[in-house]
Amino acid sequence: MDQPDESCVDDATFHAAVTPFSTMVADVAEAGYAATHGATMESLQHPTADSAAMAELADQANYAGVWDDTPIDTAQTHICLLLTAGEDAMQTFARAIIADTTPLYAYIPLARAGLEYLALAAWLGEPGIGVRERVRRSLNERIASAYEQSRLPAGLNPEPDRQRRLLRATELGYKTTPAKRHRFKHFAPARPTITDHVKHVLEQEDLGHVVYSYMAAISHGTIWGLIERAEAPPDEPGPVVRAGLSISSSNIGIIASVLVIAHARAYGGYVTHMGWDEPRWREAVARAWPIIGSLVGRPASYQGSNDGCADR
Amino acid sequence: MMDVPTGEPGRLADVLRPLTDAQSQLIGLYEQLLTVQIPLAHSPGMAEIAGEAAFCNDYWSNPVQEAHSFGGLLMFATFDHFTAYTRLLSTNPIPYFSSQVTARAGIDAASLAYWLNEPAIGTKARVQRGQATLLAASRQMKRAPDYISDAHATADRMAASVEAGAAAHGWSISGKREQPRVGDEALPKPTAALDTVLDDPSFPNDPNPPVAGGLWWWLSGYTHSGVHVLVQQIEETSAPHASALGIRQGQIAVTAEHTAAVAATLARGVRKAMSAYRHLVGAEIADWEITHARWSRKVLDLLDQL
Repeated sequence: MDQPDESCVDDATFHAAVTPFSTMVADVAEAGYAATHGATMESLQHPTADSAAMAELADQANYAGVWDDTPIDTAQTHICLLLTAGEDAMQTFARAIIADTTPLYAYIPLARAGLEYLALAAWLGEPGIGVRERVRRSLNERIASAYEQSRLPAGLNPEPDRQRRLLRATELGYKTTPAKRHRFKHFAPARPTITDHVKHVLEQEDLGHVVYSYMAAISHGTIWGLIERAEAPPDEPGPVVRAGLSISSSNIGIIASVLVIAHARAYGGYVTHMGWDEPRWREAVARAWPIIGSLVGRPASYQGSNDGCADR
Repeated sequence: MMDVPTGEPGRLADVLRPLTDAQSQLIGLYEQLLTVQIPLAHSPGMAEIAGEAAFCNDYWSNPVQEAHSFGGLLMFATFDHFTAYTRLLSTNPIPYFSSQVTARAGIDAASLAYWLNEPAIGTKARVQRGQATLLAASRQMKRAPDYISDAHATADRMAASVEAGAAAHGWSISGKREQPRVGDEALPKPTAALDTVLDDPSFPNDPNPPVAGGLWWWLSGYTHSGVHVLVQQIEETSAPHASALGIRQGQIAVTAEHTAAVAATLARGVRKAMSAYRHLVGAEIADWEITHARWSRKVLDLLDQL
């Protein structure tokens, strides 16, 4: 997916080329963060009275039990936390790509983590799935968390019985997945994989698969991911070949675009669900669309649909 | 505990300044080291290259140099993550969560780099490790979507050449469900590789190394959207809106103590990987020991204060 520039340029020219991508990502992330959290602790936004989120809250008593007295509050809190973590990764990414020396690899794990946070937030916060499905998805992620905690050394797990407690939500009629080796039981259907989440948030099966594989390869130091940046001169005699490592502004732009698209989808869904109107964030996304369009070679526009990204 | 008020992330970079300054000194050393891309004369790496012919066959034209190249590339990735991480901690505001992602990538790369460049393993093991790395890469490439036919064809070609070259030496390779292995050398699992790279008896005064398994588990949570780690940084407040419907409130806390411990751990792994590479290529870098000793002292002082 790398699209090397035709020529190598100096640092200043390179920075000038990547600065719009940095600004685009930072603007969208900051606008999302500011809209949700406000300026102070007390200005955190809550669902509007006639929102779908408020309707779900009104119904949450029907889904409460020993597993959680307030399962919809918890789901909303987790979605908010995941969005915040995604925005944190986006802002760090935006800073990294315009550092004095742009990293060759280090911005990729940041983007990957950001994408995962946003993808999971989009899935948990998907509008229109209904309170029952929201509670199921949320409980499944909490069971996954409890499973992770169960891997802690003895004595460090704050609630060793947490998985069992959460699984008592079978009383709501949820069916559990079959117990498989090295897997934990949760509520059927089975939790999507990370790649599934990424495909879903990017609304592009192939793009999601390619982007995620590429990011994972670089994040884990797999040679095929790292070596993609090596440009061996064609006429250099072997056996030892010195190859320069390079990075292209378009590569950074594509990764930046992926983050903005994921945020548009995740946060757009959240805004719709909570009944908010976020003009600053919508404007930031609208400003990003032409930049993304210029990278993919065709116009892209933002029309502010209910999921934040109607026309791409 | 040092008084580091919450809500002032700008001060955190100041508190960590002794550590990030010391890490910047290390970065300067590593930058010099990585200009040496081919083993120098009389180095252990050059001795391995001199013995390369014994490991060449119809399928492997330069397996020792290939292993060195992979090791060098991973050293560069390690350096890239370490530099980016140090910058993140030097600049205000420090990220809430995402510096942990960079730390994990850095430790991951350092552990694999160390495995590839480990001193005194002998030429045969070096070749086997290089080819196991190639086998691992081919398996990852096979996961690319079907429509990227190039990736699949290249992966098949790589795997076939590893297998045929190994067979020519009478070495077996791993099955598809095992860790990639050529002959006696299998790519280590992340926690085993971490254990090795964080264990550095050559610096006995270091801060205690963490348990690799726990570290990998914890940092992986940040990389893979793990709410179980995010919530550990939340300090729930009794703000007036806590009873309101919907999102519960809390402050996200980033502590200097926590951050310094992760930074020290990363630097420790990077140091061992860089030292192995330095040994392999035979580079003389002025002030290597003294700069590392200074870093170690700064970390201990800071952790004591915190």
